[in-house]
Amino acid sequence: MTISFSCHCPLEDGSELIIRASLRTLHGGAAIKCHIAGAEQDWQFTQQVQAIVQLARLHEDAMTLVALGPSGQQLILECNRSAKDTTHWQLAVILLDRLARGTSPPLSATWRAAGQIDNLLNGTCSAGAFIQHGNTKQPIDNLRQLSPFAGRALLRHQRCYFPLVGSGAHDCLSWLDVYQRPMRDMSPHAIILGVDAAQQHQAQTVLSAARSHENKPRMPWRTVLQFAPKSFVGNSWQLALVLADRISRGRAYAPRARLIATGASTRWHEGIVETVAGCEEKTRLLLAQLEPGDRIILPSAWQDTLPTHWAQHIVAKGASYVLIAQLGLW
Amino acid sequence: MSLFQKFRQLVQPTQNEGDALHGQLGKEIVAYRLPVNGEITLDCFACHTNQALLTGKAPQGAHVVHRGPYTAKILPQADIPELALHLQLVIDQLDNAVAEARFALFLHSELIEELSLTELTRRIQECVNAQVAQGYLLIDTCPSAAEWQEYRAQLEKLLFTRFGLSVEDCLPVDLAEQVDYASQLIAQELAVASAEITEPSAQLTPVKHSTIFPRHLTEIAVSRRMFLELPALCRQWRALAWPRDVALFARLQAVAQRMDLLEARYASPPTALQRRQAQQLFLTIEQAWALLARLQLVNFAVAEAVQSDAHMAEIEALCTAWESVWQEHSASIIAPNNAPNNVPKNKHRKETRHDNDNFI
Repeated sequence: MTISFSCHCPLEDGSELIIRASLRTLHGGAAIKCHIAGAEQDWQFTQQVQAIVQLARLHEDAMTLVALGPSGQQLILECNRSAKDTTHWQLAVILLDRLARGTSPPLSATWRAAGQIDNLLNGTCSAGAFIQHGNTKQPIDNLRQLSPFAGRALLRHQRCYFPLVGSGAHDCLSWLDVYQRPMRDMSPHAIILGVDAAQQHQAQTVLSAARSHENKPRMPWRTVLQFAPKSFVGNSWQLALVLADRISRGRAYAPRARLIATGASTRWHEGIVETVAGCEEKTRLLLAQLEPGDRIILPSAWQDTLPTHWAQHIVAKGASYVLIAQLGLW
Repeated sequence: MSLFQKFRQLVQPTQNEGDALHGQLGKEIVAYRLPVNGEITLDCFACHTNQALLTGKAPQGAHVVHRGPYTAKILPQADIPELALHLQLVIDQLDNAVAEARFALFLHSELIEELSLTELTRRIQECVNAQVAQGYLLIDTCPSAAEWQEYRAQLEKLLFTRFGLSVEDCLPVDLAEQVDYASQLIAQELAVASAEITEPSAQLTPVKHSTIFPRHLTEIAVSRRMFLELPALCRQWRALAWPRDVALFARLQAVAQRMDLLEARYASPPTALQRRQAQQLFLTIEQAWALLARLQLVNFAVAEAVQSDAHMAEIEALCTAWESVWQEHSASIIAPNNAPNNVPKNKHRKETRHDNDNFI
């Protein structure tokens, strides 16, 4: 028999979202499933729910993880409707995830929770966030309060930007976030959020190939990779991913300000960085969007195609750039 | 009574101890105080106070130093424990008389009886981490060859200026096989969770803050450092090639005068420093050497006026700190009992920096 939990989540507009959570044995498939009961599915919303649960799991402290044991289960979240225009359901789904996987509290009482996560890195919640069990209402200002233990997860994070160019009108700097949490019994796969299955697969391959280049027997990290909510095609984000992964695991030196990279490779296992298309557009975009202190990393094949005086302009703006052909020790 | 008379009473190593130390010299031991009637062998040299090297029979109280090379492994940045720097260091004997003097000053002013390689490595690590904490000496993500050379030049200058050490070789090394950052974090997390006090590992432990004041350091030792190091610092500051700029020249003159005065003031070392004052002096003198190392690398001929201004302001800030400590201190000792303090003060003034017997 599966135990399910439900939580009422009062939203800002006065309406209430009802979410139900249950666990079942994972037979392949996603570790977290979310669907809307008896209505049309809203993929954008369900993806948001999956992402926040995955990211919040990084905050579980070491003691809780030991208590929970290995996870071979799938969390099913069932919502009565979509609520993609707000984020105040975030705390509620996180609470449900913990309830469903943790020890079982009294079944009869109803839970209520609302609030959003302000800062994913240190787990702070928005003002007014609360959880309520029966008649006991507890304000929550940090995800840590959901844990029975005093410990605190030592999360590492690195964001890396990459230029997206196309017709010109929508050219921009997109980003990806890599979160790493040290963990002894980690899964060999990273959790990848915000892109379709094909891109997820590509990112997974790039990560494992690039990591195999490192002279490191074990990688006891749980990795969550989140892409900015911008759709794209292509592979020039690969270098950004590899660098963010290395920096957040303490395997490379962190930039002083933003890190911007473009580059791809078919030989990450050898640490080789290959060229990508769009040198002209990308260098123009970088120059336009540059801020002082930015660190730009480009494939060395661009050496001869860089626009004239581009380097001087970059330096004059207080940024720095480097062309790399291979991932070095640093 | 001499302020430093108590240091004279330090027990000199006996001949046997000296032999044991001598066996390790050049390996685990970098320098030690020469025992009575101790001899200096060929591969070593002696240094005495902050002066040039001596050959042959060294006077009592001299240090015997092996020039190296020594190998030190340091972690330049605290949150990257898997990437270290492998340094090969020598104490130059003949090439450079300045280095010689700086290393001797380091031994002498910090009153080191026996300098082990471990201790020297620890001090280098502290010095580098303090610089990193202040935002200097940072390594860029994926440094290019030129950036790496620049970093290396800065590091070499710092170690040369602060300790009188020459860097012969500086290589990045991957400690991945020995150190696991993730495991360190997990251990830290579990330690916090179970509120256990873990012993700091004996391995490389980087210092996170620049404001660490060694617990064992006494107020007198700090006062001694000011007394001995300030003249050397000021001399090198004056030797910097500042740009020829009228506005800057006036400031330069003013700073030079303040330095003269400071030198004169600290020439009678403060006798009753408070802990807080000692701490401030300690931090500022460490900063001063690092600043000097940075300034020696600045090409003032092409430096912008804003930059020179900023550097000048840094020096002025240090002067201000030293002046304020001195004033606080002199006010506190003169105010309560005027007369008795005059006697030792006069005596101090008679001491010269090269009057060795008073310090050893």
